[in-house]
Amino acid sequence: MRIYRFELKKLLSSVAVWGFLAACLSVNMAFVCNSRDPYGDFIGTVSKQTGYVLNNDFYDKLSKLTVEKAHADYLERLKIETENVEDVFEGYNAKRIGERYIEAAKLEGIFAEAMRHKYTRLQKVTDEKAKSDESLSLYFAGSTYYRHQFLFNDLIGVLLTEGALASVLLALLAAGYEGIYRTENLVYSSKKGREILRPKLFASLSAGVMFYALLAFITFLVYFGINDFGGIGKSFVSSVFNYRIDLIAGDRPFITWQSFTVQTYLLAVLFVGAGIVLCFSLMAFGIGVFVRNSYISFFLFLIANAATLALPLQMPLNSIGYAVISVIVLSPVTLWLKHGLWFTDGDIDIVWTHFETLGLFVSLVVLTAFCLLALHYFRKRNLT
Amino acid sequence: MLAVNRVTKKYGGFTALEDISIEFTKGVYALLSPNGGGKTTLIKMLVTLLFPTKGEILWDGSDISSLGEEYREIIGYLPQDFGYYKNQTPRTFLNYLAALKGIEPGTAKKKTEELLRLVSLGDVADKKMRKFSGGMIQRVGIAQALLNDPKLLILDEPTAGLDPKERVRFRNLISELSKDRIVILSTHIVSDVETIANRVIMLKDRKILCNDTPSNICNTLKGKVYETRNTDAIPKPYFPLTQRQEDGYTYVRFVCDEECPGPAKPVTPNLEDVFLYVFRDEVI
Repeated sequence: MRIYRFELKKLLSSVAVWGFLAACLSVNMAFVCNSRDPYGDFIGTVSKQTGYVLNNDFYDKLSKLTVEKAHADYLERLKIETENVEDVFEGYNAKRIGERYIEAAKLEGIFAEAMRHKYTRLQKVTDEKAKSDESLSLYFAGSTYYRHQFLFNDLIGVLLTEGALASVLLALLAAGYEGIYRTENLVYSSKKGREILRPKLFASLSAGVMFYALLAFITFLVYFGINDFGGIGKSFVSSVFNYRIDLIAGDRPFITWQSFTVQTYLLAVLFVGAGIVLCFSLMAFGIGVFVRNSYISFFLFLIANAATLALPLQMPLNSIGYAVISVIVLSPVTLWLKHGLWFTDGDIDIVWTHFETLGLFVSLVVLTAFCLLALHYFRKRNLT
Repeated sequence: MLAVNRVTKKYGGFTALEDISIEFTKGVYALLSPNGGGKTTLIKMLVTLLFPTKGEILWDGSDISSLGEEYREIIGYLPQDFGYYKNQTPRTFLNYLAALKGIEPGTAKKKTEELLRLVSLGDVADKKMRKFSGGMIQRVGIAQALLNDPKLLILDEPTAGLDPKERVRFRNLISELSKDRIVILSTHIVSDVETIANRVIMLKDRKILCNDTPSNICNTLKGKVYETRNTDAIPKPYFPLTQRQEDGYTYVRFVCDEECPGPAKPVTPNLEDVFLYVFRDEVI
């Protein structure tokens, strides 16, 4: 624990880390400041009085609502948008999405079966959602798509990218610290010796997650300060107003496997995001230990991830190709790329249910094993 | 006791050390060889930074790589040209290394204070090391090597960067420490070795050339070292060693394998003479 604290302090005393944090925050602030959505803010404020469930009580309160003149147009718009809204999951055919994907990807055999199985399960989910009227949730009415995409696709995407880059920087710094400062001979000949890489690994993992958490905390503090969510936090993300653009199956509702409110979905996404940050950290640390040069390690890290993204594009449309795609979809870089679909059925590349949870679990196991292998290799390595 | 048994170290096709066998008991051992002679390779194997390609290194009969922490716990090592964290103070740096050496925080704090005073860095204990001179950094290195009161003290070029006063202090310290432990030092500065080493180990062509006391090694040139200010009068082939100025004359010290009649005076050989003579093809 004492050495872990020393190692953490060494990482956190790096000027480059704080410089990178400042740069990330500047980007995020500029990004967040351009997210103004007055109509969404109006809905957030109104929802405090009307509630977020589209039931008789909501319509009753909405009809009696009076607002200042400047917001009269917004009120009128909200009344129009929420008028005669029907449950989108009532009679919804989720299996159709699976068939469209099978047809488009020319899936056969076990992959076609797996895809059918996934959408059979999703059908049960949509049936449940229909029973509970989950889609009759206000969210941000006509502003929902913009708000949802900005928060869960754009902003989370930026945060994930920054968190991943920072964690890679920290992991490579931790793995190569003694090489950079030419202290390898002193440190690795001490009693603790090469076992010091373990506390270094834990320090870099925790520093990476701390960086991500700090970045997320400050960014959301400003974001929620600027954008009024009012009473919308408990609204379901699978709202009738929320949808996703799907070029193969057509525009369709945003269907999550579980019932997520905006608050719980944000927490779940941030939690998985932290897991992805850990994965990138483990990957970079392992490469750093094998290579012992931070710059070359970073280059290799980029190459490995670029290759992971490029490989599926080179795959033929057959069982082997789809097998490769199905595995690669569980890799951290693909999970990062598909962050906007987490906790949903995903897209044509995904045959797994809960692909983000499965992918995170598989990635953590594989990359932990990779790191342990690197540590084992380092134990008997000649340090010239 | 530390025993190096028939150790060979190869880097791919290049052999750095070949079939080296040495036994170390209490006292000061000096490793002498020109640059690239294999001293640092041998030292790095003794501190488990490198592993022998062949042979074994034993501490009290057990292989040091299988002893692991148990062995490294008794080592104090000052590497040649070592790095340090520029943003840290010597106190923080020593505390960190004390943690790596498994020293309890309370003991580490006390030992750090004591050693900083010993190497005359007490006044700058809380100053960042970025502004330290080479000699000050070397003293930090010496202090860290002594943190765990090592039974085996291994020093690679320990007096590099020290001024003459510090060198003498350091030599005295080594002499004192060697009473109850093994001290292995590698150096280019032959005068350091002559005064404090109990045994000198010379490495040549990847092998051990000699492992003996300084006086026995000096005796190998007994009757062969001369000095003159008139080299033109030397009738036999000779190998020049060093020159010095006195009373406006240049005196040349040289080795002549046969008796050298004429104006040259025989002188008592020293370790530097032997070093220069033995490594005559390699001295730059």
